This record gives sequence, C-alpha cells and structure tokens, in this order.
Amino acid sequence: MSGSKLKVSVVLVLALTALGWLFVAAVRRGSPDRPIRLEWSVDTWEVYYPGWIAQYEQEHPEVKIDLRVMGSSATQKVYTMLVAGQLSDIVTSSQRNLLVENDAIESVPEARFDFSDVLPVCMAMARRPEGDMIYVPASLNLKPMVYMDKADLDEAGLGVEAFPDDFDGWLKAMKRLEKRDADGNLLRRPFHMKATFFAYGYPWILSRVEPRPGGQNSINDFLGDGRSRPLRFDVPEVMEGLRQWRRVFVGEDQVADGDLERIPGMKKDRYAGAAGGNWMEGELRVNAPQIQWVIIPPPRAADGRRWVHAQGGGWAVARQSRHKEAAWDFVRFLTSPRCQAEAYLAHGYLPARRSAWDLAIDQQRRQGVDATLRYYKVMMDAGVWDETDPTWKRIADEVIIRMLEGVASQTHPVAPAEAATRAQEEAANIVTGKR
Amino acid sequence: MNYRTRDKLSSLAFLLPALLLLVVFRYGSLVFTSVISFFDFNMLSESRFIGFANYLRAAEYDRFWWSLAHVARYAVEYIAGGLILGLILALLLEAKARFLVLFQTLYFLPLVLSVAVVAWVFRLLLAEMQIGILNDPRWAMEGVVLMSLWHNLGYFILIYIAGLSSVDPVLYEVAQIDGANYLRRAWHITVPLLRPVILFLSITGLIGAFQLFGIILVLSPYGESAGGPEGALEVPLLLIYRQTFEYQKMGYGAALSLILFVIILLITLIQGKFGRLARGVT
Amino acid sequence: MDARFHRWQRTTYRTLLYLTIVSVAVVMAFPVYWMYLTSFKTDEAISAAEPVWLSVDPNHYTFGHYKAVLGQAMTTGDDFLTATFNSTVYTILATGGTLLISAMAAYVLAKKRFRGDMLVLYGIIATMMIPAPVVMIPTFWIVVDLMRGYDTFGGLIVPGLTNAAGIFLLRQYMLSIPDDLLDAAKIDGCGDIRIFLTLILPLSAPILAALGILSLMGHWNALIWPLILTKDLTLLPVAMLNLREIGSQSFGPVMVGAVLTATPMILAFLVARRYFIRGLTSGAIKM
Repeated sequence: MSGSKLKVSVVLVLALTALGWLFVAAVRRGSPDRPIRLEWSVDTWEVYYPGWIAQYEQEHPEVKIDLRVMGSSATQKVYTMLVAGQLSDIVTSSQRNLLVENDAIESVPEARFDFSDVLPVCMAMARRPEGDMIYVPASLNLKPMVYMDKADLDEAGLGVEAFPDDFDGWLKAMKRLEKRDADGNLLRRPFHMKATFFAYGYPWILSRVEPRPGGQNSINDFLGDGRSRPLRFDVPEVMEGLRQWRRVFVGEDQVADGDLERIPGMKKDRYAGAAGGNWMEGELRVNAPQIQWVIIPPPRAADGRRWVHAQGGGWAVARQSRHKEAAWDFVRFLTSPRCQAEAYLAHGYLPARRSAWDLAIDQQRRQGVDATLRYYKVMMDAGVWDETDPTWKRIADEVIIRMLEGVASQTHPVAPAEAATRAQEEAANIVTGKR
Repeated sequence: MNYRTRDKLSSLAFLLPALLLLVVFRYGSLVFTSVISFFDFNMLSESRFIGFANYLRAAEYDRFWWSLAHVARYAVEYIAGGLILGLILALLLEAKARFLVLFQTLYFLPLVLSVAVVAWVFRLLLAEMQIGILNDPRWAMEGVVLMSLWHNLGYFILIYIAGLSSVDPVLYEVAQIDGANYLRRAWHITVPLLRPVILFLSITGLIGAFQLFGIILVLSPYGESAGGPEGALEVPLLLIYRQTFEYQKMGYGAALSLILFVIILLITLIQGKFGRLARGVT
Repeated sequence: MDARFHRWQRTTYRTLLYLTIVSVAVVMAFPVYWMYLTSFKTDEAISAAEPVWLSVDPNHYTFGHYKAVLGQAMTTGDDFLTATFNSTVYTILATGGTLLISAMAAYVLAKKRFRGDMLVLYGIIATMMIPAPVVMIPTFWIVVDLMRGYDTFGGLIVPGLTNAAGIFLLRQYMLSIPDDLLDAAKIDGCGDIRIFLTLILPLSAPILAALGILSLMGHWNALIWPLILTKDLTLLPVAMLNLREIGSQSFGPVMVGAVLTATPMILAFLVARRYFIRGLTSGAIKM
C-alpha cells in the first residue's frame, strides 16, 4: 500500500470508529407496542422454538419473547447473568442448584397450575427438601440405554422383546452383534460408547446402596442428619456395582471413540448401536433418518431392577423478573401437553405429562411409524432419581465421574475397591468444605 | 497559564488514558487478585476473610499440580518443536529464491486464524480421517501440541528469518573459504548468532504455552466438562476458569492464578539467566 | 574434487530442499482448504465411508449449510449473521481505540522529557509480564460491578484497549521523527493536538498499520473475554464455541461458521501481508 492510500485508510478507519460509537449508542431499543419483554434462556436451540414463540406472541399481543441460547457454557453464563443482575425471566432447570443456592428462583405458585397428570417422579424431582417446587416439570431424561439398528438385530437373529435381561445374557447377545472379517479383525462393534460415558454408569453403583423409604436415595443420608440410613461409597455393594458396570460397559473391545463418531459410525456400520440417553432420538432422526432403530434397555441386576437414571427438566422463573405473572403464563404454555408431545416427536425429550405421552403415541400411530415411546415405559419401573440438593449435585458431578473414570481407565486403571474408597474421601472433603 | 504548564497538562492528557487503563487493569488487577485470594469471594454472597485457607487448599489440590505437569509437557514439546522445525524451515526458505512470497503466505496463513477455528477444523478433520489421537488419554496432549505448532509455526519461522537477515554474510564466506560445508556453517555460525532470537522465542513461547486454554475449551464435547479424555488435557487455566465461573469460588481461583503467575515468573527468570550464561560462553 | 560429483550433489540437495518446503506448505494449507471444502459438502459426502477430498462431482456440493447458518435456521439470538456484525463493530472500535490511545501515550514518551519519564516507560513495559489469568477475575468485577458493563460493547472494548507492547514499539519508532519538524510546528503556534494529528500520526503510518493489523486480528479472534462477559452480544469465536452441540451431528454448518470467522482475517492478511510481517518482527527485534 502506498503512502497516501495508507493515510486514506487510516482516516477511514478513524471515521468508522467514530460512527461506530454513535451507532452503538443508538442500538437496542425495545418495541413500544409489546411492553412485556420476556427473556427465555435455554441450553440448546430446538427446531420447534421459533414456532412456539410465534404462536404465543400471536395469542398474547402484549408480550415479546427473546430467546437466548446459552450453549455449552451454561453454568458460567447463568452465573455471570446472576452477578450482573440480568438473569433471564424464564430459565431452564439445568442450573437450578446454583440458582437455588443464591435464592434466585421463584417458588412455583402451584395453585395456578394443573399438575394432575404429571408423572410423580417428575413432581418429586422438582421439589426442594423444604417442600416448595422450584420449576415446572416439562420433560424427563432417561439413561443409559443402547439405540440399536434394527437391521443389525434382525441379522443376528435377535429381537427387542426377546433380548436377554440379565447381565451375562445381555453381554452374550451383544457379542453376537459383532462382525469380523476373514482374518478375525473386528469390523463392527456392538455399540459405540463415548470415552466419557461414565456419568451414565453411576446409578448402577448407587442403586446398590440401601434406598430411603419411598424409593429415593438422598444425599441427606450421606450427611447423616438422622433422616435415613447413611449413604457411603466404600461399601461392598458399591464396589460390586462398579465391577458389574465395568463388565457391561467397559469391555475390552469397546473402543473409546469421540462423540463425533457416534452416529456417523452407525451409518458406516462400524457400530451396530450407540449408547446414550433419550436425546439421541433427536440426533438419530435428523442425521440418520434411514436407520430404523430400537432401544435396548440396560440389563437387570440380581434383585430384578433395571438401573436407569432419570433426570427431570423444566422451566423456572427468576426472582429478579419484572414480569412474573407473564412469565408463569408462558411457562404454562411451554409445559402444555401439546408442546411436550411436540418436543418428544422432534428431539426425544420424554414428556412429563401422561396426556402428552398419549398425544405423542397417537401422532406416531397416525403417521404409521413405530411407536417408539413404548420402549421407554419399560425402563420406567425402576429408576434412581437425580437430586435437587446442590451439595449432592456437586459430589455427583466430580466424585462419581472420577471414580468411574478410574475404574474404566485404559492408562491407569484403579481397582473398584480403591476407587470407591477414594470417592468416599473426596465426597467427605466436599461436604466438609475442604475441597 | 504559561507555556510550560500548558505543555505539562497536555502531556498528561495524552498519557492519561493509556496510563489509567494500564494501572487499573494491570497493576490494579494484580493487587485485587492478591487481596481476594485471602477471601471467600464470589460476587454474590458476603465475602469472608479466610487467611491462607485458599492456599492450603491449593496445596492439597492434586488435580491442579497434575495440570501443571500437563501444561509443562505441552510447553516443552511445543517450544522444542517450534524452535527446531522453525529453524530448519527458516534456513530452507533462506536458501530458496523462487516463489518466496507464495511460500511465505502459506506458512504464515494459519497465524491469522482464531484458536476456535483451528480447534474445530482439526477436531472434525481428525474425526473424518478416523485418527483418534485426541480421544486417546495417552496422546491427546501431543495432538494439541501438533495443532498449536500448525497454528504458530509461521511465527517461529518469521522471527528466525528476521534474525537470520542480521547475520553478516561475510562470516559465511570466510567459513566457506576455510572449507566448511553447509551443515558445519549452519551449526557453528548461524545457531550461535541466533541465540538472542532463540531466547526470545523460548521465553515468549513459554509464557504463552502456560496459558493454554482456548483450544481445550473448544475441543471438549458438549454436555461434559472440558479437560479431554480422562482429564488428560486439563491445564491450570482450565481449572482456574472452572473454579471461578462454574463453582463460583473466585477467591480460590485468584489464589490459583497467583500461584501460576509465580511459577511462570520463576521459569522465565531461570530461562533468562540460562540464556545469558549461554551467551557469555559464546 | 570431481566437478561432476559436486553438480550431482547440488541437484540432490536442491530437490530435497524443494520437496521439504513444498510438503510443509501443503501441510499448512490443507486444513484450510479442507475447511472451505467441507462447508460446501453435502451431508452424504461428509459421512461417506471414504473421505471425499478432490471430487468435482456437483452432487457432492451444496449451499445448504450456508443457507442454514446465515438464514438463522440454526439458532436465534446466537446466529452467525448477528455475530459477524457484532464482531465487525467490536473489532473496528477496539482497534481504532487501541491505536489512538497507544499512539497518544507513545508520543508523550518519545518526544517529551519530564521527571520520571523512564519510570513510566518501564512501568508500562513491566505490565507485559502480568499474565491473563491474574487479570481475568478483577477485570470481570470492575467491568460488571463498577462499570455496569455486562454484555455491552463498552465492557468488551475497554479492558482490551491497553497494549503495552504497542506503546513501546510506537515510541521507538517515533524517536526517529526529527525534532526539528516538531520545533518548526511549535514555532508556528501548533498545539500538541495539531502536532499529533498532522505530523506524528501520518509519519508513523507504517508502524501504525503494522500494529493495526495485529490488533485487528487479535480482537477479531478473541475468545475468552467475550465468552465470559457476553450473553446476547455474541462474537464469532464465541459463536463457534457454542456450536459444540450441533457439531456432533453435522460438520457442514460448523465449517461454515469457521469460514465466516476465518475469511475476513485471511483477506486482511493477503492485503496487508507486509505490515503484518513487519508488526510481528518489530516486536521481536526491539526486544
């Protein structure tokens, strides 16, 4: 660039800068004809959100909904929003622990909602130990299970209903889905397991511990506050659970591919299936519509229960919100049976309302597709429910995952007994604040 | 108001914005970080003075010290790779005369990319080529080293070329007359004269390497905490970020970042002393 | 020594040399090429069993991903169109601001004598030793709590306006501006502002351009601070980070995002290559 051209560009840049400052000052004005502006934060963007927003805005002309997708750094986003005093009016329940700790969520005005057909487990998960509800239940997530390509199952002569239930039978049947070439090299593995699939395993371990009356395991037991029996990791039941989990999910032939290989791997027939949770339905529908899949639930343990981990999702309203009434109205819309059914049909989020299950199954039958919802009902008989207690969540996130990582590690494997003992120490440290 | 006063005021006005910003955001930050490291501080609830508690916790925080080992491994491999490969390529480019601009452009191109772009491109490219190095806990860090080298090798080469251009060609001629071949000339003349460049590159490279973070964030799959397979990619800055923004323990995060700062400082000073010694020997 | 032997050696050396240089160039260029290629590949081509890198079959290519990403079919409120706009505004404002403030300080440090001027200079240089993590938390507190600048352009820009290395480099360059010129201007009655705008800035244009292009790229590519500070005001690198949930499903849109983030900088590099190089090497040499 020559000298004068340079001078011109410099002047241009400075001029743009000045204009920019002026422009920035003028930007971001709300619209006066929709006085109520609700900010709605979600973890991931879903294809049906714009339709919902359009419909709601049409029915409520005084409201404008702003959708905010928080993406992968949701915790940090919610925290910084909270610090800056700019928490969205409607927030997802995924960060409820942080929000409850800082008293940032408004208790649900139950009298204004009809929860008669909400699944009891969803209601229980939405309640704090103090008794009030902190979010309105919208969905249920279950894991772990294996999404299997039906064609591969048929090829191996297996059927969903006839798939073995017990540990050993289950493993043997999975082995039949392997495909090897003439030299014995493994061409196709039974299912893809992420290297960090561990979180799905922990209900297996915890289910080994004596449950509280009512079917829920509570961290309050761990704290030994007298409410029920203590929950510990370094007990024989947990170690046995770790051993069994390792057998089922960490076989020698399991290759720890990254998550990017999951569905492409199924399409290329490197895997007959993929282990995951119900959100994988959405991924499969969008990215592998040609694969007809079925669900193989995890095997039953000795006492007959299938160890399935359930997590509830829903919508909460911030205490900072300036339009709480409008926010609750929108939440009621979001958790209506119609919306819940639509969410399932699009992405596999299991509805929290029974009426929504019926709606979805009806829709699937009318479309002539396999009513896939019924597979999940199989897993609903037994479940370990996610805790609303923040301390428990923090322990679960760190301690249990590290315990499982240690047991499943390919580089530094840890014996189940030692992993359990270490987990106990870490959990104790977290509770007493040393960690 | 006489001329001198006006001049002084004017100077002040010109200097003030930069000075103010630097004092507030650099020195002020240092002071602030040091202070809050003695508190239980998280901007939402009351801060409590807890003395050295954060530092004691840090001493017991095994994961943090492991993360230092991870980042040290990264730093050593990255700097060694950059220094050696950079030198070789710079020498090769010097010898070459044609299409220099084309090669320059291609070598320096990756430098202008954001860390997010580099991480995504490599993540997807390796997945498509079915090279699972980033998912293998044993070699994931080496994968990151390679990515960073691809990203930044151009910088090493560039600085070397700039340094090479200041080497007096007379020295080469003299050596050639004495019968030294190319390799001997390179080793006995070029490399020693490049010592300042090498020192500069290794010090700045090290300071940058210890602050590895962005790539790791982008590499982690959605829905799980970052840190690579079995935590093989956990680096100090990642843990500091997590403690600060995901566990809301800012005081603790401040203590950890001060510890990291001191370590980086020590290593830099040692390198500087070492470099000066080496220069003295020559 | 046999003359023929020497010539053979020379050709071998030269061939090896070319080979090495070219292969490295290919390695450098290939991922960028792949990025552009994948942004246009159809989903089937991407997930084909054998990777498709050189096909000219039009069935393998599509604009679909671009339409999806730019047509806001991917995400609302976080879409790449808004992010591109935000990034552009932020980069221009931040770069312009940085250059201005750094030049102002450098002018004083180069051309004015006062008590403690060396102290100030060393003080500025010393700040380069302070690493980012130490600065992150207090900056966040200052910007969010004191400046109330959460999720604003101001909050994004202000902490990034300081550039100690830039001030130093500008000062070194300005030292070489002849004092006679300044004295002549002062005699004519010019104040500091006139001198700065009409003499110093134009004469420092080359180094300003060099610093400018480096600053431009640094701001455009910034990831960490925008990630922490913003909610709505997404910048391109942050938008790329948020693609993690979509990335596991389809490569195409992710690469479109990468193309959007990378192309402006690649173009800037091609246009201002000489200044880019100069900016990087000045930093090293002056040390």
